[in-house]
Amino acid sequence: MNCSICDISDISICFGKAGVPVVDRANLQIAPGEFHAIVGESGSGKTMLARSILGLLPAGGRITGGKILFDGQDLTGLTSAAMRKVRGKKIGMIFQDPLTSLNPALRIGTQMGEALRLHSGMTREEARNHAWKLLDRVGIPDARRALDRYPHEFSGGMRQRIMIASTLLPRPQLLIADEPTTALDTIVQANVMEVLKETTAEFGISVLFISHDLGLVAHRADRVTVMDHGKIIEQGGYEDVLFAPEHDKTKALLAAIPQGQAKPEDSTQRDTLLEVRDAVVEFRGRRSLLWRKPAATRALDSVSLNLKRGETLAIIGASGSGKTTLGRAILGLTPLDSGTIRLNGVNISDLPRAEHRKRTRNLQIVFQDPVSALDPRMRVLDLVMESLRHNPELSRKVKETRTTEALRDCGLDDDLHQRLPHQLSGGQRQRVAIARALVARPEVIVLDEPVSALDVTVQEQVLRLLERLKKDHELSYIFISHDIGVVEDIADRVLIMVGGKIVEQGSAEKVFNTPRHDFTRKLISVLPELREVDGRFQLIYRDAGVARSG
Amino acid sequence: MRFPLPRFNVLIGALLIGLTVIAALVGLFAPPANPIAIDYTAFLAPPSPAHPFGTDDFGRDVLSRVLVGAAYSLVSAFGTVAVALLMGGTLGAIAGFFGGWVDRVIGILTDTLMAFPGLLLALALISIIGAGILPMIVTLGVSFSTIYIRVVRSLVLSLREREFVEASRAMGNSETFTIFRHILPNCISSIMVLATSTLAFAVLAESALSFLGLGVQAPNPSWGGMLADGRGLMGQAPWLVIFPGFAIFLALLGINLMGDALRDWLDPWMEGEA
Repeated sequence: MNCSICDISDISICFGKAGVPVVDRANLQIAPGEFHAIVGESGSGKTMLARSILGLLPAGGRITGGKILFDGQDLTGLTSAAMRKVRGKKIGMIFQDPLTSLNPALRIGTQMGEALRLHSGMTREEARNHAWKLLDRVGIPDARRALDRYPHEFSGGMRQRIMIASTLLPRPQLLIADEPTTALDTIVQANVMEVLKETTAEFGISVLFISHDLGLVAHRADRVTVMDHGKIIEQGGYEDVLFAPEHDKTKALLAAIPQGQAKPEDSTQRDTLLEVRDAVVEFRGRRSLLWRKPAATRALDSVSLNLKRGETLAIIGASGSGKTTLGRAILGLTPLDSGTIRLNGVNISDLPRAEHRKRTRNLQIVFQDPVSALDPRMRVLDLVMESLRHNPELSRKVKETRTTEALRDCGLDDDLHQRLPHQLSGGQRQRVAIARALVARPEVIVLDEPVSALDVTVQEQVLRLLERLKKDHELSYIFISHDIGVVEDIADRVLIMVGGKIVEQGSAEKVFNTPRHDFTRKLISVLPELREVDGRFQLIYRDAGVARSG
Repeated sequence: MRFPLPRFNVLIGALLIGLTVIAALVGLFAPPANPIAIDYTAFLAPPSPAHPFGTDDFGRDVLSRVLVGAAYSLVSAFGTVAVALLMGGTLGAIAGFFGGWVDRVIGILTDTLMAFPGLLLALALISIIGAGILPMIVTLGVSFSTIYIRVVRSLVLSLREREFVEASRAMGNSETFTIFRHILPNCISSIMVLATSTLAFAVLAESALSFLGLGVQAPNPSWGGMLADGRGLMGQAPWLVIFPGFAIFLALLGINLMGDALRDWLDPWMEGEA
């Protein structure tokens, strides 16, 4: 292949001495100006494959065979000094987490200029000029002044744009992007994707884009490679992969794209289970002077909601909208500054702790991050059983049986009981967290972004599990999420929060089909959808016009 | 390929600690000679079959003194670390977990303690509660606890924000239970590292206090005390410092090796993917 700028042939990567290769004889060609997406679940080897191009494998990883030809040069045989010349200048890389990939101690201009001067020998002034033009290009407002700011002064999306700008600055021929938008809110995610796509197209830079989310990349990519267990299982133009997937795994990844059908409005009368009235939570800052009142930010501003029995109420908002605070306030983890919370008609918002504990046994929570939500030193059985600690009427035997039942209910076999959290997969961990809530036999479970930290295919499984549990145990859910696509299938009612206030609420059908608030419309507009256009299916935005203007 | 190095380390560590403990027991119950009996016919005798480690300037058998000293040194060193750990760990955990004014009060206390030179503080405390091995352990423990307060506080501060601590609160658990069940066990690895390194300092601090006559009382031997006593005669009778010095070295090596092994053993991440 003479037309490709990067030609990976038969590459294999191993960890340790022997064992299963994490990448098994992979072949990949990237043409100049091409947007190439590698899609796969975590552990499929997609990141290792991309990192091997730059020689950035983690300790213990080695290339055991194959060649990586870049610009006519075999990168596998380069010395580290020669490799440093390729990195940054010819091949740029963007990492997943914009919070950690920028040096917090350096001003933006310094960080960007440094890379450029290192590679092209420009003067300070020229470098700054180039830098601000590029920042302007990726949509940083007031780019000139942004050069003198520090990374923490920017939001996650802005930081990722800055990352893109600084990798593009030396005009590399290839840009490797490793899940650059996974840590971002959905609307921001779509905007960053657009910026990345447009700027690289403008400069004619090839992109190797790694993602677990086929829905996110498929319609932007020229070619798509699907990986599973270290092997490339499918490769081709995006239309081939999307419309004629051959491998089951590809089909599973496609099925995981939320293809929501909002539930029709439910007219049955249900009694109210949980009621929040005029809840206010304020976070106080530091006092500037001893006698001054400290400045307060309202995380919740007169929020009222009803949860009916057997209902799934979705609370949607961007980060910082107060949706997590609302969930925590319902559980009593964050005290209310004013307002009331009633559970089964009883006011639980200002009960003493022992009483609160007794009254709220039927109210449980599942947290977002299954890694941090489980004590790393406890084993699965103990983790789940701890939830029954305040039920002294149950014997240990009964507790154990109930725990085992709850774990089985969540699809976890008995042989996992003695595992530690780090010995489980992400999906299994979240199942443990769900079992921990379920074992207390709750009526209401607050789900705080229960699937955001999971791969899309695992998300799908966990959502299905939640649906089944809801039916089997007559549960009601409060489902908190930043991604409206996730809840489309399962929500009965949707509530949208912006800046600590509820800006829109109504039945799922209404909110999805006739959104009233601008924010809701934006949220829905960036949902990818498989739609039939001219007799062919295409994956497109619901409303491309709104997305672009956002 | 994994050379069984860690196991080898554990073995050596266990061996050294076992040796020290046996030495202490032998010294306490069946010393080869009376460690405090003065014999002017044989003072400063070099190592010989009768006195394998030689004798000191009072004609006392150095071997017996090293053996008995093991007991005094280890008890005071471990005691010091235990007091420091208990006090520092508790205060640090309270400061980190509750924050606010509690944290500030404990912070001021720690700063005050730290601003005092450790030995000076120990001297002051001992002059109030009297000399002896127990007061020494308490005073050294208190002055060592500042490091533990700082370290445990910062560990707890970061753990407090983790969701499993939140989850514990959501289950209705009390603060005390949460601290003991979820927070402190997760601090153990770092505390172990700190504890093994402070043990070495404790042995040396004990010797300094004993030298001043404030720790282990005069005729009774401790390793640090023996080092201090023999220092002046090092030129003529090197065995006076060589043997207790080696004893300290070997015991601390054993403790450090065991500490590392214990830390790994307590670390859940060392249990590989099942």
